[in-house]
Amino acid sequence: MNRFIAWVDARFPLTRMLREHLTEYYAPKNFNFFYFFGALALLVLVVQILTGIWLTMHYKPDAELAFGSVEHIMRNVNYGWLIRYMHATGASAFFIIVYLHMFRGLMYGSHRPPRELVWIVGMLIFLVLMGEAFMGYVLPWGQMSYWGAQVIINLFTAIPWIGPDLAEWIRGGFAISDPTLNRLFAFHVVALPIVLILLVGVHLVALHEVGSNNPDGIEIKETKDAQGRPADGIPFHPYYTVKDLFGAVVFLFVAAVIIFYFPTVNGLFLEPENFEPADPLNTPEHIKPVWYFGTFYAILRAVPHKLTGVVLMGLSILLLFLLPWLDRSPARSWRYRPIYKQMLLIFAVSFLVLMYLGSQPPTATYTLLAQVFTVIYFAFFIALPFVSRWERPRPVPDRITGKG
Amino acid sequence: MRIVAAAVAIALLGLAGSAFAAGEGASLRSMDPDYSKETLREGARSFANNCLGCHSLSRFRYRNLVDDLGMTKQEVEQDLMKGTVSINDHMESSMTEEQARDWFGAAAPDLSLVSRVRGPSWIYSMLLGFHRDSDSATGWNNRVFPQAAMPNVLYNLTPEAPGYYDSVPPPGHGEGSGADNGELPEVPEGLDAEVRELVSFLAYASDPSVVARRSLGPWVLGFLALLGLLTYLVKREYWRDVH
Repeated sequence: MNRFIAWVDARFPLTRMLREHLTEYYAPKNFNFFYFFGALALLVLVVQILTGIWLTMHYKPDAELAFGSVEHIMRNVNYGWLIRYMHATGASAFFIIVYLHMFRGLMYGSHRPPRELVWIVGMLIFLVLMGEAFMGYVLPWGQMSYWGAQVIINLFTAIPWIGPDLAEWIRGGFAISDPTLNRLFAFHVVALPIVLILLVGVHLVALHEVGSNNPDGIEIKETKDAQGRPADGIPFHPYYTVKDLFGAVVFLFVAAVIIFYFPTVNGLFLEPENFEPADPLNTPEHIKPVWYFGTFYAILRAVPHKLTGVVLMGLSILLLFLLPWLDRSPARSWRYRPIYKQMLLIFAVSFLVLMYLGSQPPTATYTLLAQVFTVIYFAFFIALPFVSRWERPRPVPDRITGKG
Repeated sequence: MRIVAAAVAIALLGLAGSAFAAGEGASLRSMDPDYSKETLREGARSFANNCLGCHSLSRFRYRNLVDDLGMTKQEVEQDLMKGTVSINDHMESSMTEEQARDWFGAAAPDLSLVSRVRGPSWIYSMLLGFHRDSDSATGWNNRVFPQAAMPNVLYNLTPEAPGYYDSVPPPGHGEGSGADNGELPEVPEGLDAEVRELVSFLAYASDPSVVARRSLGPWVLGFLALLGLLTYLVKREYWRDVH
C-alpha cells in the first residue's frame, strides 16, 4: 500500500493535497452551528447530482411527454418517488442552506479582506444555483413551470431595442414551447452542473489559500504555537470531518421527515398548481415563483415600471458582490460591531418579509409593503460604507474567545 | 428601528392571516385523508361503484390495489374492473369524451391528480356541497363548484332519497339542522363515512407512494437516529482534547 501511494505521489500530489486540504488544514476551533452549512451545501450538491442522474434515466424532455414522465417516475419506477422527492426537497434545502451560509459570512465578516475572492466565487455559485433551480423547476412542465418560465423569460423583453428579439432567441420561438423545454433541460443537466462543480472547487481552493474565518472575525494565523501551527486552529480532519458527519446525519434526519411525511411541505416545496399539466391557453390566476425566489420577485414587482423593476432586481443581487468593499470597518465580526449587527438584522428581516410578499398576490397593501421593504433592503447597502466607517468597534481580542 | 421592523413584520403576518382566512369562494369543510389500508380499500370500491362510470384515474393502475392495499387479484377483477382488459391497465372510464359532452355538456375530468391540485378538503366539501336547483340541467347545483355539470351521485345516501329513513332513525322534534343560520348543513353519518373513504382513496391515488412512505419512514428515521447517536459519540470522543 505504501509503495503504491509513493508511486502515485511521484506522479500526482495525492498526499500533499490530503495534507493541505484535510489533515494539515488548520481551522479555528470555535466554529459554531452556522459553520455546518458549507459542508451541508456540498452534501446536497452531491445528492442533487446523483438523484438527478437517476431522474434523467426516466424523464422525457418533450412538451408532450414531460409531465407524464414525471408521474411515471412517481408511480411506476421502483423508488422513483423517493428519488424525485429527494431531488425536490434537495432544491429547497439547497437554498435554505445557502442563505444561512451567506448570512453566516455577513455575520462574522467572512467576506472581508483577504477573503474577497471566496465571497465573489460564492456569489457566482449562488447565481448559477438560481439559474439551475429555475430551469429544473420548468422541467416537470406543470402550469406553474410553464407560466413561471413565461414571466422570467419575458423579463428580457424589458431590455431596450433588442429585448423582444433576445427573448425570442432564448425561447427558441414566439412562445414557451418544446424547444424551450429542450434547451432548459440541456442547461439543467449538463452545462450548469459542470459550472457549479468547477466553481465549488475554486471556492474551496480559494478558502484554503486564505484560511477560514471564525465567529470572532480574527486571524488565527497570527498567533502560532511552538510547532508553528495556529494556536487556535485544529486540523480539519479528523476534528471537523467527524463534526460535519454528525451535522450531516442531523440534516438527513430532517430531510427524511420531509421526504417521507410532508413531501410537498404544504405546497411550499412542491406547489399544487404544478400538478396540473402546462396549458398555454389557460393562464393561472396568480403566477408566483417558488419560495426561494420570493425576495427578488417582490423587488421586481414593487416597481410599476418594468425596466426599472428588472434593473432593481438585478441590483439587489449584484450589490451583494460588492459587500467586501462597501464594508469599511476595521473589525470583521458583528460581535464587536453592535450597530452593524442591528443593520444586518434589519436587512435579514426585510429579506424575509420580501420573500413572503413575493409569494402573495400583488394587492395594493402588499405592493406598498413591498416598496417599503425594498427601500429598507437597498438602504443597507447605501448606509454600510458610511456607518461602518463611523462606528467604532468594541476592542477585538487577539485570541478566539472560546464561545461557540 | 429594529422594533419598528419587527412590529411591521408582525402586522404583516396578521394581515396575511386574515387575507388567507377570507379566501376565495365558499368556505370549505376541512378533512384529513385516512391512509389506513382498510379505508383505502373501501374507498377504491366506492370509486368503482360511484365515480368510474364517468371519471377515469388514467395514471393509476388496478395493480396498485393489489400491491399497495393488499386486495386479492380476484377481488379486483370481479368487483372493480368491470370489463377492463388487464389488471395492469389504468383505471379508465368507459364513457367517451363525446358521450360526456352529449349527456352532461362537458367532459368529466380525469381525477388522477385532483387531490394534489385541489386538496382533500375541497373534494370533501364539493361532494357534500350539492343542493337542489331547478334552473340547472341536472336539477342540482353545487355550493363549492357552482354550475358543475356533475349531478349529486351520492343522492341515495341523503335524507331526501326515498326509503332513507327505513334504515336510519328519523331526527327527533326540535333538533334543527343548523342550515338556516349560515352554518354548513349537518351531514348524515353514512354519507359522511362514504365521502371520507372516497376522498382518502383519491388522495392516495394522487400519490400512491404514501403507502410505501409511511411503512418505510419509521425504519429510515430510526436508522438515522441511531447513526446520529453514533456519529455524535464519535465526535465527542475526538473533541475531548480540544479546549
